[in-house]
Parts: sequence; structure tokens; C-alpha cells
Amino acid sequence: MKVDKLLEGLQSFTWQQGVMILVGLVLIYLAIKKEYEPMLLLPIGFGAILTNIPLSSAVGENGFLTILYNAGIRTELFPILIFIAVGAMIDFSPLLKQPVMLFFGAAAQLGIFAAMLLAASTGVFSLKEAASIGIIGAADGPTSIYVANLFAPDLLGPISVAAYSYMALVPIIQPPVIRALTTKKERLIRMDADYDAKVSKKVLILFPIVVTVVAGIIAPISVGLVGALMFGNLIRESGVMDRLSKSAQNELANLTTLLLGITIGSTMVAEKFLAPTTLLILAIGLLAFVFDTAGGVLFAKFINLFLKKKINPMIGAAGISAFPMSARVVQKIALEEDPSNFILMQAIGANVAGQIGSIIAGGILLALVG
Amino acid sequence: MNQVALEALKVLGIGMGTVFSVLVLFYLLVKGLQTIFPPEDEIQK
Repeated sequence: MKVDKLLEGLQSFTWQQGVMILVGLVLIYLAIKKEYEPMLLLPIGFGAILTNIPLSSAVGENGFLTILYNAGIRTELFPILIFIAVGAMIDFSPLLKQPVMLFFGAAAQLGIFAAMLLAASTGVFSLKEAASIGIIGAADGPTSIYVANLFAPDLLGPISVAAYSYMALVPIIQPPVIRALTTKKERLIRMDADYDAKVSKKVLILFPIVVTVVAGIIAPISVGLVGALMFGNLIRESGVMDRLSKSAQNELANLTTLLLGITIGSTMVAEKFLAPTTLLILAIGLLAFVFDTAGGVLFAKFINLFLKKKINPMIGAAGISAFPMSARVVQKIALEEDPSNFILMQAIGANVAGQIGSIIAGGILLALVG
Repeated sequence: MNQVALEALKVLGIGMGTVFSVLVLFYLLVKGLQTIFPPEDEIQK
């Protein structure tokens, strides 16, 4: 009888593993009780617990989490599959009805580059690591995972947790920044919306193809990211692949999200995660969202200098990728200021532009730093 | 400012410039597509 085997786990247990199990429990609590990105934070939290149990058979050479990591994260397969699913879910028509919103989708990517600069200025991180931290500002989980895995796989755990946590916290992070940068008069600005505007089916079909080709020619390294997203969208808009479109939106999205989350959790190994750099990453990640919001709002204020018919600068804050939370935040503040001011349509357009902007910014970062 | 930060500053400038340029290009392409393929309602009118 090998009774000692039963005690091996207890004997190998370290306080660091205990802390990480607590971190996992906190993530599960946030997912269930606060409903913060539950589909990601719950599997990530449980993955963190599984990987920090001493001598865990879930990790290691033959552990299922290691096998999933090697197959789905190291190869970038899971983020790519998520992009196909997300592409199938995105309706670009609010953006195509008001393509000027694309500019806000560009301005709100400031957070990525500003956070990268901040991370680089600390002297703690290499340029690639700084870029991986900056990409938290994409407010787009799969893009963060894709870039971090290429540039700084050791930082994948804290970067993913920061990206998904702050996306869930957009309703808390954005309002104070928006209020600090706008006057009441600006927040009261009304914007005309053409609710009857239509987009040709041909444009909806051609848009994902054109975007893929143009983005691919400019930054070939972005083809994986942009191509997968736009492929999913083409399936949706083609009108002849309804069954596959629904599969991408449901089964593919659900299954990949499940596996992605628990696999990301498995990267939260105590020795790597419990480091001062993790706190630094979480702090810079938060600032990335603040810079994103500020970039969008300030850009809107800037172009208002040249416009006769002013736009509500809060729209700029919706230019991040966190969809549709950001657009809802902007509409909520507008309604708080004036219960009859509806700017949701414009905010949704900017928010969809943010989804394109973040993926383009991710591709450009890969090209510039890679 | 350390060397990495200087490089990051360069990436910030070039990166934001490129993101804006690409999205301006997309804007023009969308406008072009909408001119070539107006909504079906407009064709009927």
C-alpha cells in the first residue's frame, strides 16, 4: 500500500498555490455573483484552480489542459475560431449606414499604444511584452490572447484576466472618464439619426471581402485575425449559409469559449502569476481602457471644432471594441442628462467601428513590433 | 526615457497614424461601394 501517495499533494502544497486557488475562487465569484463576463471568468477561474492544485494531473505532459493549450492556444487556433464566431455575430449595418463612425473606431485605439508606451517606460518590460500589455486596450479578448501569445506567452494569464475583467467593468470605468472630459452642454448635444437608412445587400457582402484584402495587403500578418472575423461575417451576410452561420454563432462560439477560458486559466501558474509584474499589468491594463475612452472623446471634441452641426463627444467613447456595453454606457449617460436624447444608433455604429479598429490595431502592432 | 520607451513612442506614432489611415481607406471604400450599389429602395425610386 502506498499511503504516502495520498499525502504527496498536501506535502507539496505551497502558500502561492493557495493564493492562486483563492484568485480562481474570486474570478468564479465575480462570474456568478456579479455576472462579470461569466462565460470567460468562470472557466478561467476554474482553470486556475485546476492548474494550482499540487501535482495536478490536469497539467503536465499528459494533462488535458496542457494538451488543450498546445493545440488551441500555442497554435492560435482558439482565438481564430472565436473570431469566426464573433464575425458571424456582428451586424455591420449600423456602421455602414454611418461610415463616418469609423474614425471613432480609430481614435479609441489610443489606449493600446499609450498603454504600450507606459509599459515600456517602466523599464520592466521588453517592447514585445509592452505591446502585449498595451493590447489589453483593444477591449477585445481574442485579439489580446492572439497578440500576447505571439509576443509574451508568459504573460498570457494576467493579460487575459485583465482584458476580460476590464471589458466587464466598462460600465464602471468609462462614465467617470467621459464626465471628466465633457461639459454638461456637450453631453446634451442631440444628433440626427436616419433610422430608415438602408444598406444594399451587395455592400454587406462585399464589405468583409474588401476589408480582408485591404487589411491583408497593408499588414499581411493580420490576415489570420481579420480574415477569420470577416469570414464569419461573410457566412452571415451571404444569406445562403444560415445553418453554418447559426452554428458559428452558437455551437462554435460556445464550445471554443468554454475551452479557451479553462485553457487560459491553466496558464495562471502561481510562480508566474504571483509576481509584481502582474499587478503592474493589471494597473496598466486599466489605464489602457481609460486612454481608449479619452482618445475617443477628445477626438470627437477635436473634430467638433470644425463642424457646424456638433456631434455628441460621448460617441467617441463608444469607439472601443467592448460591444455593446460601451454603446449602452454612452446612451445611459445621455439619458441621465436628457431623458429624450437618443444617441444609441450612433453609439452602436461607433462601437462596431471599434471592433474593426481593435483588430486592425492588433494587426498593425503585430507588423510593427513582430 | 529608455530605449524601449523610445521605440514604443515610435510605434505609437506610426501605429495610430496607420490605424487612422486604414480606417480612412475603409471609409472611402464603403462610400465607394454605396455609390456603386445603392440600397434597393433607391433603385426603385
